[in-house]
Amino acid sequence: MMDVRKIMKTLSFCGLVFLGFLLLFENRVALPIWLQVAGRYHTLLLHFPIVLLCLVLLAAVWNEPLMQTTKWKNFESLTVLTTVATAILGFLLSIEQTDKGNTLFWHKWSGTILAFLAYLFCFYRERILETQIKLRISAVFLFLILTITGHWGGSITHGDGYLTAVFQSNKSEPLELSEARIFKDVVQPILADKCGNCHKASVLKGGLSLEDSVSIFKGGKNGKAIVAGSLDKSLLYQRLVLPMTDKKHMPLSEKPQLSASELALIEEWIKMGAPFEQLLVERPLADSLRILSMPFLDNRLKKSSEKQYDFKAASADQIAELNNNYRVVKQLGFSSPALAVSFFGKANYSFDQLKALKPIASQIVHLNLAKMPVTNDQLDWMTNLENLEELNLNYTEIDNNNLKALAGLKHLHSLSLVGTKINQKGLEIVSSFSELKTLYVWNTDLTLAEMKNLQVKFPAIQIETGFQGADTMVIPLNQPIISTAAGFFKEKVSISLKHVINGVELRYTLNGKEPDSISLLYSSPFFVDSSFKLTVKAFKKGWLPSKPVSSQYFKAGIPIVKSTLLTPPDPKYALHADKILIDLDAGDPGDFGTRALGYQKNDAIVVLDMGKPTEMHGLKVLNLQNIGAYIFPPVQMQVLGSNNMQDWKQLSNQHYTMPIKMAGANTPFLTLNFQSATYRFLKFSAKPIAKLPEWHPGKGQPGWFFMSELVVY
Amino acid sequence: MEKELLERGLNLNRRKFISKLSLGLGSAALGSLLIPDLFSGSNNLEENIMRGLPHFAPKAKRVIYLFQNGAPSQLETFDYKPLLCQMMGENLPESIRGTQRLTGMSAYQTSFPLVGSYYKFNQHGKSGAWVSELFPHMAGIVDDLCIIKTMHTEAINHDPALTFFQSGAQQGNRPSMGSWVSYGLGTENNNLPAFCVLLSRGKGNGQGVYSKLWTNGFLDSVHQGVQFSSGENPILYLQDPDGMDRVTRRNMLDKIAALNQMEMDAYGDPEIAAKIQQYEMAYRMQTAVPEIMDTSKESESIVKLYGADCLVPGTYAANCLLARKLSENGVRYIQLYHQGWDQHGNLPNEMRGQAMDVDQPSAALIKDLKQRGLLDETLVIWGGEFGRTNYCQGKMQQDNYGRDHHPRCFSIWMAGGGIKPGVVHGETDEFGYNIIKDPVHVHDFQATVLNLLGLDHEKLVYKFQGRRYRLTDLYGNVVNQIIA
Repeated sequence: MMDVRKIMKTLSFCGLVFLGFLLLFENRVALPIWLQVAGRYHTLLLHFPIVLLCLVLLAAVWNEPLMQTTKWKNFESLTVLTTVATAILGFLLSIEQTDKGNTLFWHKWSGTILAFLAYLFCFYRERILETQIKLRISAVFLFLILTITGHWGGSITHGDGYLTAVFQSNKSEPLELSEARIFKDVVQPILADKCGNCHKASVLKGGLSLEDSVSIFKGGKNGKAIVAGSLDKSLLYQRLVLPMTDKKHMPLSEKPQLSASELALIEEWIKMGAPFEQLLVERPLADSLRILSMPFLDNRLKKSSEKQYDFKAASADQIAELNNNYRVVKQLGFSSPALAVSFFGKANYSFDQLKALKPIASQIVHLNLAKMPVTNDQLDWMTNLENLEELNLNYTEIDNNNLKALAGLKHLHSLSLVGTKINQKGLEIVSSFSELKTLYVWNTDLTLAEMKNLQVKFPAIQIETGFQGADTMVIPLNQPIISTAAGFFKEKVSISLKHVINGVELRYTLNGKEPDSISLLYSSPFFVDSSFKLTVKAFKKGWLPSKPVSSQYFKAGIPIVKSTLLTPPDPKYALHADKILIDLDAGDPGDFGTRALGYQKNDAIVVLDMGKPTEMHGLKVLNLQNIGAYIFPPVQMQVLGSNNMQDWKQLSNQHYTMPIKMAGANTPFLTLNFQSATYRFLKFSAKPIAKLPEWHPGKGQPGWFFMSELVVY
Repeated sequence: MEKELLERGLNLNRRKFISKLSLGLGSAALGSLLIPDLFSGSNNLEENIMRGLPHFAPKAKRVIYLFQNGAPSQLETFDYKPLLCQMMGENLPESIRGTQRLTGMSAYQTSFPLVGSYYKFNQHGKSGAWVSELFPHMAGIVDDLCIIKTMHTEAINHDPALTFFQSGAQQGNRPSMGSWVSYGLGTENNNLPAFCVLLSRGKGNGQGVYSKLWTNGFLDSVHQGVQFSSGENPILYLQDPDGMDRVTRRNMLDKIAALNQMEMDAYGDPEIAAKIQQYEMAYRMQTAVPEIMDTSKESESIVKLYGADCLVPGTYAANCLLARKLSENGVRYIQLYHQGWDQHGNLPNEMRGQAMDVDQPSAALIKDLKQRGLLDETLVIWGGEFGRTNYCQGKMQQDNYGRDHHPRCFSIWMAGGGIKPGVVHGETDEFGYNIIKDPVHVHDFQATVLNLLGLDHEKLVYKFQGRRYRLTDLYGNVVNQIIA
């Protein structure tokens, strides 16, 4: 076994000598092809020394006794041998590279040193490193060299910053469009992203760096990267457009490729003479290079739409302290020092609330005092707001007086004075705002003509005159509201009307006719003492009249003490059956379930008791009809009179014609008149339709009869 | 007792410590795998959100969303398809329909006769956008609108589609868009909820809206949408009962707050703190709400602008006016729903009525915001939950037809708050059935709305039951082309 170790030691020694020789005559070495192939195995072999050396060094730190064993020593020899071999192959590989960046230089030398030190550490450890502590320190030192060498090697293969790239955010500084340069802000970021790992001053693959204009024009070992204006001669472009299968295609097929838009941009850039220092805005708007560039700047420019302020931010504590439920102080954005202040709740406003803002006065750019009782004397204080841009004084109590105080607000962009008492004279102050862009002055004492004059006088300011439709726009009024519920009344009924719009004339009729502009004018609630149909319409100058709205009112007849049903209504429609017919509630055509009695299988027969013999001459039946819902008028109705509930005399007998087509729901009164007579009891009967007519969807089925009220008069 | 309390406190701390520790280590390790730019600067998502500030400079501060519930037909509003009139009654080519699933309401039909718009279209404004004659007022402001003709969705029925639009998921119980905005940006006016909901109903065939559409889901309950009703009390239970004055109310709240505070000190449950806050806010709302609901001071010009109905509570016009007033007072997100757009049949008649309800007030809202200088900072959205088919559902007559649900393309518009005005975005094919250019998915739409408010839809997250949730789930791309 000893022999194996010795052989390996000797081989390693020879390797080191060979390595020293190579280094010494680096510039004169010419490699045979087979050695070049061997050199490329460097990237495979290097994994052995990394792992093996780590194990050896670990043992040195934690398990010294292990190191004394023969087997371990053989293992160490193998480690040294692979280390030296890797270093040699690495050197051979480096010869291939005609252009050598810094990283390669350092990797080569640290690799060589590592090989030498590993040799010494393994074979001459006992002689040089007597104490355990020295052994450990050396092990750690070697480990460091191993790490550094490995890192440099990795940087050469994968590019600089390969490891740390994931930490670096791709956010870039916000940018003004006017400052954007075509190369620096558009082209260079693409080159840096897609080509920069290999083609930069510290790596120099192919002798090419794309870091700056000088090195780009210098080109690489194969020729000029870029020839302004010529795609054919620009090697950079040629390599980009080679098919992916071509070995010379760039970026290498396993690396991220340029997107179509990036490629188009580079093509256009070279065609346009590869401008380096030109600003984007120097190119015309419709220029193809400018158009192609814009998407690349989009993200950066967007952020720049956030206005930058150069004043200092107020402290968060201060802002928090000034915030309360009625005064809201907020930063404009996450990182903005500018503040917006709004006041809410009229009752809680006082001048002191405003004055308390003094400490942050210079940070306030928006101030909203709309609807607050701000008075003219408070305007003086506003000059503290040196950076104010938007001031909203809508519906405050200010007028012309002291408006001049605002002239000190040099940065004012927008001033809102809607709904205040200012007039033309007060607005002369506008000329003192150099940056004013918008002025809101509608609903003030200014007439439209005055506002238009003002606009002519200050063409640079947009003057908001508001919607002026009060006189010119003619639209219909909506319907009036009849507050008195329709239905029965006993002696008289009080009618009250209203309308949501102020100043409306309500005109009405009591005979069912549509009111016109000379019909009765409603001023206050009025009484009516007989049945009638009320129709109301609204009129107002500058508006079209409303649609009419109407309600029916029924005067109750002779008091009925009791109603007795001799035949039962259908159980589904029999609510409050004992009094529903005499409760003076007219019901609702849509609500026949709770406000009326329904009959289908049998006739409706009811006896009404007036309490004592009473003179009468008719009976009215409030009938519900809803043809679509199978609710028809009765086929026949009759009424009989009696004083003793035994001798009944027929008073009236009526037959009704059935509808011949569909109709909506309605509630007509069906009247049975008879010769005036005196009775205590009346017996009323009605017959529902037995078979619905042919044209009806429910043809052949029995129909319904519904009634909600009986009135005797 | 004291000993138990102490022990409990220690347990609480120990547990907290351990869970925080594991959270710290675990989230650093896992988080770096999940969130690409975790190490590229301070980006603690939840912490950023807690500050109630936008992620970047917002273009809009507030949203008014005019939801047209029931799905108005794109073919009678903004998507002009003359071919359908030429091919009236011919069958929809199989190649156009492809594999589109149909609802049970028209899937049984043996033929799918194409039907063109009963209403004429004209080009309007500088942008030359096509608008149906049903919407003369909207046509008048078309240069302020960005019409998106290529919205598409995944659901084919009302409730899932509506829920999807509002919460980013079809199943419901996720936070509504307004709740997300409230969570992301907080309220502007502490005396009003950040998220308000207004309902109205047209005469057309309607579909229900449910309070799950404005739920806060798993977010804190302060982010729930507050419904304003049209009755005497716009917000239920807000008003003091008869006989109770403000001083009594104040005293009562102070006493309750003291009790709650004791509970809070003992248990440290943040929901208790939220409860205290909500009582206080309701107290402030008692004065703030009547101030806003009062329309008596609106000038006649304004009344005419919105139409006379704007003074009748509960109408769409009144809700538009109220939306402006709420928005003006710093309410972040106002969600209107106007029901009655589900025209499976009788479409020409019903759409006329629906258009009468919404045309003038919607346009008025834009004009009114503009004249107040608020349009720049208020995003207004108009649209339904999906579109309607280009073929007739049911019996086709000369002047009457119906259209079934169609998720593949429909039109909405957006205006104000950072939206490019006078733009028509996207194109559909000449049958009005498929999108041929620039599709906008519902998640894209949501991402765009959040973006306009200064919120990154990928960063507006909330961790619930071990998962981070977003309004846009895992999807959504901001539609940069429509952002000014």
